[in-house]
Amino acid sequence: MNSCVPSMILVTTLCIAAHAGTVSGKVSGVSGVSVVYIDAIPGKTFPPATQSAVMAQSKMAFQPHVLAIQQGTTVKFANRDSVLHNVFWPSVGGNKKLSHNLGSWPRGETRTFKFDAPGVAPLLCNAHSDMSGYIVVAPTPYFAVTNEAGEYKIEGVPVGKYTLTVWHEGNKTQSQPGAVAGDAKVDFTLK
Amino acid sequence: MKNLIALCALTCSMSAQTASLRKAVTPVAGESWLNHLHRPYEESSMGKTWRLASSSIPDPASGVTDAEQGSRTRILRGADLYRLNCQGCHGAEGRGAPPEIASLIDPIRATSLALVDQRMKSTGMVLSRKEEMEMVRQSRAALLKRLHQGGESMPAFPHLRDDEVRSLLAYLRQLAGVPGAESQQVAVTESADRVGELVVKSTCHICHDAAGENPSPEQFSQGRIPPLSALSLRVTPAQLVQKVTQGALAPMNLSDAAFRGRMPVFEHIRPTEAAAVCGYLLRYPPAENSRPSMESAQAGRHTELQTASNDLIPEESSHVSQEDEGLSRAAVYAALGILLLIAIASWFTIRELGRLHAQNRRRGARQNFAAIEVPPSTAKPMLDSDYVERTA
Repeated sequence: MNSCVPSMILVTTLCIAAHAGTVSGKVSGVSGVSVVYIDAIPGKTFPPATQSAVMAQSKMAFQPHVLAIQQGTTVKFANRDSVLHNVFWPSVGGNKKLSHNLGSWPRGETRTFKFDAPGVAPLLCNAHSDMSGYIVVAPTPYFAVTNEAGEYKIEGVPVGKYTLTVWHEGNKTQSQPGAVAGDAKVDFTLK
Repeated sequence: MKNLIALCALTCSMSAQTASLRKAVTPVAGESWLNHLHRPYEESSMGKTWRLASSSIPDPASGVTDAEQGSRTRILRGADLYRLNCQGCHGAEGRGAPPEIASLIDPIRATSLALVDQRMKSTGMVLSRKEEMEMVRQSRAALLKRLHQGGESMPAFPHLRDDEVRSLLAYLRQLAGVPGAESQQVAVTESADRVGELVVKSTCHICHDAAGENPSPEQFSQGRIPPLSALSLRVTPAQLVQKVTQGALAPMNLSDAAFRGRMPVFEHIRPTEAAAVCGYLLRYPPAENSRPSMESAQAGRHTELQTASNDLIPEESSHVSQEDEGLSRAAVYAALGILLLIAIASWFTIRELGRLHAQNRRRGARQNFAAIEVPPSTAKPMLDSDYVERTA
């Protein structure tokens, strides 16, 4: 279970014709949150994220359980429990060379890490084997974490053709193509 | 000879006394841990247990009422120290009652290099031995800090002596499945009063204030928990032993005749240990003053403990990682293989020699034995080739 949690990735292509649009939709077939993001766009780079994100260890759990960030974002890991926590991830995007042990630290202290490579980092704690969390590093600034019902909305997406990817903690993969113009509505059904 | 034995016994008992003087038995003091946390008894895990327990009342206790056995010493194993100090909250298996009471299994497993190494390998995490050892060191320091300073929800246990901590941690490691922990168990010798002190400070004092006034029947029926100082006014030693170990009717005028009150039944505390509680409370009357301040009392002690952490938690010197184990196993196989080859070569050479010798004899034995050319031993080239293979 803890070893390698394969992600459920579903890819859809879409085309936005308006000046800037919104991509929204629903991920169904699974319970809990998913992450939807626009994949890397060939020949296009983005300014690095200016805001950092927070992944807390609170009440013996990673909070939030799933955090989505843009590639290059610095994440603050904050221990809010009265016990010592450790954070490590065995890979990023399945690449074991990107594994990292952030160490162990007590309540009130924070450690930071900048995620430069895209992919999913499965977070674990050496001191508490039940704890698990995920950081989904998107290659573009266009990403969203769904609500519990699976609904998502990505705003301010410029005109263009994109590949949309959905990730969900799980063990099956499935893909499905699609094309949309204007404000796009893309639904995914994961099985 | 008899004199010598007597002298030895005397020296032993004297040194035992000096050891126990290092941390004399002291009265329990201050408010209960739940009051300290401002947590209502009904909302605590311990406060909920009475609803789960059977309401039938067992026969009166079987007569273990001797509160006067303070002079007798007992041998306590780590498992006993766990029962007296930890089991009330963490349960027999150490899993606690999440989210109020955390499991202690994982934090203990994190202090074992063998288990950390195993977990890292199972998650596909590549860590150097140095990093794994650092993880273990941090977990050990955190564990001792928690034991001596407490946490947000867990009280501190500054009253435990180093030898008790060592014995307790050895058992915790066994409970958590640390390989080889069974062989590292150590026992401690305690006076009956010390046994009573451990039960009172670690278990009773979670819910009972040390001192205070004896609640009236009305206050009691409204849920007031009597302070430890009032116990002798409320129950006889025999009643206390039964109440603690088996449960007993609560002195309340309720229609339910079988109502045994709200106090949990501590089946894991033995009647002699409950009797030791009575003796301890009699000889060391609970004190009014506040709970000892953990921060000031333990600040210095903790640094001292951190340096001593390796002394309190047994080293896993015999532990070899799977990688090292694999290497050493390969070396053993290689050596065995070489020995086998040498043995075969020697046997072959001797057989050939014997055959030639017999031939010579048959031919008349005029030829000189020394002239016979011995076939070169095959052992050495094989050694070389094997060496080349291994280094390649």
